[in-house]
Amino acid sequence: MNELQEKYGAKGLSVLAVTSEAKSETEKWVAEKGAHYAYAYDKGGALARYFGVSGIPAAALVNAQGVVVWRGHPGALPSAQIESALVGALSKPLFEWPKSADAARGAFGKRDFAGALAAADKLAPADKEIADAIRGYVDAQIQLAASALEQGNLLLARDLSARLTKELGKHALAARTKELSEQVAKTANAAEIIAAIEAVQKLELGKLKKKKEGEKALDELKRIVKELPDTYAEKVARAKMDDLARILPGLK
Amino acid sequence: MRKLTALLLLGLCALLCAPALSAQAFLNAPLPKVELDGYAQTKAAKFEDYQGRAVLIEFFAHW
Repeated sequence: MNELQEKYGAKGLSVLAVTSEAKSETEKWVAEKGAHYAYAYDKGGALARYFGVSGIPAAALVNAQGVVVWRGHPGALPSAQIESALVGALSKPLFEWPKSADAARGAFGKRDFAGALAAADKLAPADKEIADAIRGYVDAQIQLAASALEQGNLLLARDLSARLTKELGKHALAARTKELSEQVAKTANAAEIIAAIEAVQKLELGKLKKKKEGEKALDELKRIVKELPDTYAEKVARAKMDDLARILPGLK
Repeated sequence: MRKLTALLLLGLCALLCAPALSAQAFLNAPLPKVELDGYAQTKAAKFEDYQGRAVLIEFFAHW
């Protein structure tokens, strides 16, 4: 845990250890072990349940946009996964921003980007680093939505643009995210493509128990490939088909 | 009576089985509000303080 924090901390990663155990036991253990990472208590284990954690160690990675992108054994976390989670991330967490940036911190913490950008414009030259971080984060968000659209991932482009439009409120940049939303809507077969991407993402191969279920899933994927050629939906359906082809012979 | 037992069992299963069935549903979805307390060895006091950062959540136990 300490290693990852050291390696990626300045690039935007925070490591947070979470336990459902009692404070007295945990404090004693942390002191004995000399652990110096941040930790917090998950009383009653609600967060562990949310992630379906049944054994320890277990970890989950949330990207800079607040989206869960990975869950597994901490030792098996690919560094490429970390790198992509860091896109646009703040190099300094909000709680390390100076007091002079209180207004910006308050707005940013609520994802009120109109407020955060306005506060950034009012920051003194000494806080240029903070102002740049805010603008950089918002720009990266818009860029993510735009590149999702470019790749044809209409589902992600639609969701990111809609969320950003709300978060940008009356700021001039909202015009750009509204434009992205319109471009998504104008894309041919947008609704079908979005529904297909959603269906492929929801299809969990690990849950397939019977050959019949596997064959049904394969038919659905084939239908997507046939009906939506040269789209992102076709691409993800084909990738899923390859995975499915590997497990299908093992199903009964 | 048998019908009632069956209904109760079904209800119980819906409660107990649902989390297992949706075990991976959290992937590629925004993390809902996280309620943790007693933040230690950090200046963060609530999960929202990590807004804008990528966060690696590691579950640990002392045993």
